[in-house]
Amino acid sequence: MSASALLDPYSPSVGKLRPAVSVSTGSQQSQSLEEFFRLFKRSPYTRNVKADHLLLSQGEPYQTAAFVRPAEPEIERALRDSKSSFKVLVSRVSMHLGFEWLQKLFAQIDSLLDIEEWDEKDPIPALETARTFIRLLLILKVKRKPGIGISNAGNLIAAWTTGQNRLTVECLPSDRVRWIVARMNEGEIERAVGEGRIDRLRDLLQPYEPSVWFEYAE
Amino acid sequence: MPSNYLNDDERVVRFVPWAKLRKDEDDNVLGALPSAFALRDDEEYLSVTWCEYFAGTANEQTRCAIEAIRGSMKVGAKARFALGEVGAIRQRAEGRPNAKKLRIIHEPEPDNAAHSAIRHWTRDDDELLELLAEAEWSDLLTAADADALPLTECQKGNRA
Repeated sequence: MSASALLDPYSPSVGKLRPAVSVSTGSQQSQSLEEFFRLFKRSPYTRNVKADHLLLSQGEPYQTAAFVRPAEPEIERALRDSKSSFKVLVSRVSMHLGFEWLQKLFAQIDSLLDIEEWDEKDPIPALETARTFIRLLLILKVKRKPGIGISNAGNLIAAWTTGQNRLTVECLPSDRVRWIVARMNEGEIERAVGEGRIDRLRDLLQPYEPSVWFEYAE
Repeated sequence: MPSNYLNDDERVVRFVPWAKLRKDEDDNVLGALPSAFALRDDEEYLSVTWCEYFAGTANEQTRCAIEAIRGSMKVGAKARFALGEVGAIRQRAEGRPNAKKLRIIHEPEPDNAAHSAIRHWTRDDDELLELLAEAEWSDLLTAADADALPLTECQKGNRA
């Protein structure tokens, strides 16, 4: 074993090292990694420490060990921060959303900003777009809630879909939105795109009878 | 070396990450968002993977194209692969007002030999992107769909 090695305690390689390792937590010495983990969890000094890796170093008289957390990749941290900020904003208006929707929205946020699914070429959504998104929901007072996506600029997208009727709204900074409509009318699809302030959106969509997206069918 | 232009009857796959899928409030997938087919500011062309680069049946070629994508980038379990026909995409895009003629060219990359570029792609026609999501690129394969396709050794085909 090298003088210092960073090991994942849950990886199979740890098992291979087990017979050779003797570790100490100060007053008590353990003869195996398993025993060390047990001591580590029991000790009042270390039992609350959360760690993902075990740092082993060889020295006299004992081999010593310490848990360390690996540096979090920047993208993970940025996604986590974005999620938190978004949820804080949502929480501030929770009284207008209702508990059921709040839960659903939190689940959507977690799902959208999931590191396992995130395309690293995409910019992380900034607070400004989240603010516009929430204000959009509050101003429109919709019954049917949107699906959430992202644009290449990192802006949140609210999408309503009922059959072939599709409304896509990109939430830009400063209470502005860009929207795309596809609306079935007498067997033909009408299309429109536009950009403007959130407070004008409902009026701008009026010719397309937006209740098809915002209300549940009777 | 002369450019290898893709034929109209050939097919291309575009990777669509989870965040660019059209969903309902319960995260059920309903299609792709227009942003799935939009250029980023620093991109000069739209990246796709050419199915007919590979030998085999249509399904085998599609599977190979998806494996080429999987081998070249991180692909989440909930992502989709949008399958479209070159001619239909071309016709839709070139039929737009002030559209340029598309150049759809095989441009292999070190980690994806079937990579192709759609050049002269729009930068501002949101309606076109919506139309493509709704029609020409509406065939979205899940990871399970892809895994159900026959897998071969993905040898180069005659067109490559």
